[in-house]
Amino acid sequence: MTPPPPPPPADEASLIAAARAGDRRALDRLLRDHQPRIHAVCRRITGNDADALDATQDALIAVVRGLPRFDGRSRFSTWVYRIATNSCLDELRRRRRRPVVGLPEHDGVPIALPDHRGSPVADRVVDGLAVDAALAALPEDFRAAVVLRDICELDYAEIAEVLEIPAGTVRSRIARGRAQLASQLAGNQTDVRERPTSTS
Amino acid sequence: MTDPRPPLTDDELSGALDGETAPDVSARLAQDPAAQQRSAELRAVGDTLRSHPVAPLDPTTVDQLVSRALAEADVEPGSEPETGSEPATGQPGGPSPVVTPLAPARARRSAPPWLVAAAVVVLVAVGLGLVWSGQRDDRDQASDTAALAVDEDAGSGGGSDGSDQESATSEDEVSAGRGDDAPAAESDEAPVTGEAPPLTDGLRSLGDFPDEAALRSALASTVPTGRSTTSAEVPASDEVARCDTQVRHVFDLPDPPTATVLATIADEEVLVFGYERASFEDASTPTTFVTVVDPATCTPRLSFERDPG
Repeated sequence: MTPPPPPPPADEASLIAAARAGDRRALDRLLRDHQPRIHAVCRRITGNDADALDATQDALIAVVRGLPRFDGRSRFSTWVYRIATNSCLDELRRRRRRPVVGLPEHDGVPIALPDHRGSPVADRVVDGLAVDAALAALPEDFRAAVVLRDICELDYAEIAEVLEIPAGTVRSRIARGRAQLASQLAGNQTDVRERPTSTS
Repeated sequence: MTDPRPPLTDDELSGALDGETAPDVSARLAQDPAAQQRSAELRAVGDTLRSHPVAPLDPTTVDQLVSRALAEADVEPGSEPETGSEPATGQPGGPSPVVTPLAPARARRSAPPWLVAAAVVVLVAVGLGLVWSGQRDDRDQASDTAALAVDEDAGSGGGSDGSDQESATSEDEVSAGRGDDAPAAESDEAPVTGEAPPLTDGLRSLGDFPDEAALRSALASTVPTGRSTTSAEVPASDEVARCDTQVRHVFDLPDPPTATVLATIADEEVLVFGYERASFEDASTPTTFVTVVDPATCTPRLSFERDPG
């Protein structure tokens, strides 16, 4: 067996340099290191697993393609978030262009969900669905800003860089997004059976 | 005395939560119970989002995502769109995707020039073989069969002209190269053209798996023995060699595969390669890198490093 090549460097700056120089193992490591964050952003912005997966794939490919042009002026993670956010917004744009076809037998008919209230797992699933629904109800601009702040924990300057908007606009979008989410999630605290349905 | 200033806005309260507001806002907040109530509501939003983290992807999916992205590293410079430096919105002339969908991206992928040259040589060789074979059939199939019978009876002593020998050799090459054309009995014969035995020699099949995860699970600790393949299942040796070459190039693998088997995922044929190599994580630890590719495009569908333990 051929002697093993040297391991990829441990620190990110060296890893980026090695990846840019063509070291596949360094590139592999970079992608694997950042994939969880990319997927988390994409899952929260797109709102569903399938679109999140597509957007994550697009973002990883964009990272590979764009790495030679990464100039180091911003943090690598900020650059990755920027790519991920753009991939998500593109995915949402593509989704809007796709025709939505419902299952014929369920079109317009409310689907009765089993009542599992009281089960911790079920409660958590319901809460998770409520978070998805509340985020989905936000305008995309607000959603991206809130996700980058509250999930990715970027500061306003970084979010401004990712979204290419002024910091004041970032503050406004986060505030308005949080206000809408607070309203949505507060409404969700009521008994499930008391909530209005689409047919009522 | 009441504060003459207007109440704190959501902008100010939200900014205060993030430490991104003027100091006097914090002082006003401390004296305003209504603002404190609103601030708590806004804080609860962030707490709720953080308390429902996104579930991580399973390892198989991560392997697939990374493999496909790594495969894109071979795209020729200049053919890819700008990424990461342009906003996704507000571009003139309508939306312009920062990144392209997977299918078009794969369609644009181009193989390295040497690979294209090798493929052309193989195609020409196969084409010539088929042409010669067709010419022979056109001449007289019955007399050809008779001549072949004479050849078999007389051994190499004569009875056939040079063109017949050439045709037979070409057919052998084609048969060795394209197992799907060869009778089962002939698939075990040594190839005429290759210096090294083709990767399709003794290729076995692991059978059908419902999805990549199931195949990964089967390959987790070892490459199963599998069953013998029929000649119809075996892809052309040049396809296997091409995919091996491409995989080794993409993943920077120095040595040829130690295991090559077939499998199907939801009835789609795939090639499975196993390469002994140093671990990506720890170069001092030998392990096996397993990759599963589509034999037609050599696109990795699944790649993972077997746990050295």
